[in-house]
Amino acid sequence: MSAPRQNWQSKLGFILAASGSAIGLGNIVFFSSNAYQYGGGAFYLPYFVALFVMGMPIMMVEFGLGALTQKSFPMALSQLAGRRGEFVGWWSIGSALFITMYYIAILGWALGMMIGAFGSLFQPGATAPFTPFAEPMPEPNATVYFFSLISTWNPLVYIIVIWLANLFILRQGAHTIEKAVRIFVPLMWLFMIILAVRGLTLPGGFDGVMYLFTPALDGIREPSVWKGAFSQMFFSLSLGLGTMTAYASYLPRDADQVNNSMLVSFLNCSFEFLAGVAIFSLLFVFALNPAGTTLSLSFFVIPQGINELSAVPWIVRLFGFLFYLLVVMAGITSSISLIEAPASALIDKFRFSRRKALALIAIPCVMGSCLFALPQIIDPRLSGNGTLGLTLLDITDHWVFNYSLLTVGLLEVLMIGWVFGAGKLRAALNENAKLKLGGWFEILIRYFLPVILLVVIVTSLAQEWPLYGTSYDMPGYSWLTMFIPIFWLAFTLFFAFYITRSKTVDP
Amino acid sequence: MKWIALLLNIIALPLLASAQISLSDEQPTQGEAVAVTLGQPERLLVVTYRPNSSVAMRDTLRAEQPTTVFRWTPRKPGIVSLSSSAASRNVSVRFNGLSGSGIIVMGIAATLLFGGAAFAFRLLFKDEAEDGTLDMELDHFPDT
Repeated sequence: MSAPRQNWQSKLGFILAASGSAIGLGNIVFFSSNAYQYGGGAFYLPYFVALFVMGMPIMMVEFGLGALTQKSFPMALSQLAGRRGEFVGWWSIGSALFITMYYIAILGWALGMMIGAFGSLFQPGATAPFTPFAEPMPEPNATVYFFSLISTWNPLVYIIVIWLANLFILRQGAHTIEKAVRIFVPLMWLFMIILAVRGLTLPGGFDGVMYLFTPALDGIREPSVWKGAFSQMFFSLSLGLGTMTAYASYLPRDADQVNNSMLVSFLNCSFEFLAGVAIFSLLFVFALNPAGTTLSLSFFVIPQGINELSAVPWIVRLFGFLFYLLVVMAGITSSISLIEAPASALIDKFRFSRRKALALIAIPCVMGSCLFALPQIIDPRLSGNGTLGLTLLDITDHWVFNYSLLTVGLLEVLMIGWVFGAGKLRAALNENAKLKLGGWFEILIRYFLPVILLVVIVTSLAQEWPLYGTSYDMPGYSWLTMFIPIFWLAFTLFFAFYITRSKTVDP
Repeated sequence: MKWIALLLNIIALPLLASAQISLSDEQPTQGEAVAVTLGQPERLLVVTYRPNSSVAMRDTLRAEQPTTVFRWTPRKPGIVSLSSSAASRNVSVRFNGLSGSGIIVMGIAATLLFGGAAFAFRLLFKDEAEDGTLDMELDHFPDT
């Protein structure tokens, strides 16, 4: 028998958990990369537009779904839009499981780098003057260390450690999540502030910050800049994954979801602001280019900046350790929400015990996480850049992360706007809101957001030919570029179809 | 991760070749001329402001005869890539004074974000309204 639905012990606990869920690896480095690529301060205009017209309203929808129905994402959508809604909810859960698998593999690597900070990983002045794996240079540097690390069996141990940490935190649901985030989230802020202060106090560090904020207006009329801002906001706030709805379902019905959405969104973006200051000041001083992705910036570029922070080895190691500790903590506060979303959905649908739901998720997903790390371990030749190992993860991330979140977001606003009724949701949210939502909310949900999300999805798809990943050199494995998106779609759609058709166990 | 290859090239190749490009001032300032010295004579030096971005801007410095020294006055601050046919490197061009627009954008962004968070925090802990119950959930959320 299942236990009665839990509640957060405090409002602050929920805010810390939801903001911890939103603040993940992407916030630490990906915002900086986007801001650099899309014109620095000029990026802030589309960024704020995206925050106010898309990020906050969709978060209000997701929080509202959870708190007002007291159900997880698929079951909340089921209550509001019937089986179609439930199907969309389970599809998003299926995609979230995929993301969890490789996200925890990356966290395992980050844990390995954190441990490496005690050893030879961080050396004052060490950069990466080498061609990856062709002829590794004798002197240590982060890139060589990373590729050497992922070709050992150690990452499997690290992945299992991260999974155990997640399951330990999730063992009693909201109660234990709240305990963990009360430690992790303030520490994340503290470490980010330390990194930002250190970056700012470097000679030329403030120029880096000016570089972040000074607008390069040349690109503001480029549609790609606006598309980049809207995508960044969606991914940054972890929308379309069911995590926010799962967390909000542990709130009392009369919680103020308008204010909660504003607060979590502002906290998430404030953290990104600080991260931008830290990363830009650090990379600018050493003429390192912030353009890149979460993985490349986290494991190759930023460590080089850290190596330049001081000529004193222990200071460099300390900052290296703090950086990866920050990455691991930010990752875990997000991964627990990625696991909680399917766990709460299974509990709601089948009335499983929490232990059973977590086991059903963990057993296949631990294997999945290990599978993402295995190719490089079994054949160390795959541990280089552009080889099959990282490419598998890269292609999976490209399809699952880029398309599932946006598509779920689109279907979600269509169902709320046109099936359930945006007006009804607005009225329900306004019941307990200190700041009332105006008629603009309905216009956004019914018209503006579906159009914007559709445009982003369609323009992205239009640029998909040749298929993503075909430029990689994968002799004998080029079929994977086609297989991975088809497998993901087929698997998640079947998963959603099967579970939606299964009988819901009454409470 | 899609730019791993590109990024590693950005990191590794310029560093491999950086010894072949040196500057009279390793931290040049916007608007102030510096001498760029190459390892071997070249006719062209390509300067890319904000490389690998959607707003990258390119200048080409030309010499009538192959030369090892180019005079370059950075037009914009920020990360700049210098590349010749044989070598390439990144430099950070510092601002000539404070950037007014940068300070304004930073101020507005910080005020909106941190101010917004502070405002929402204040609302969060404000005393609950007299009647905090939701009495219309059945109308709004029919069990379908």
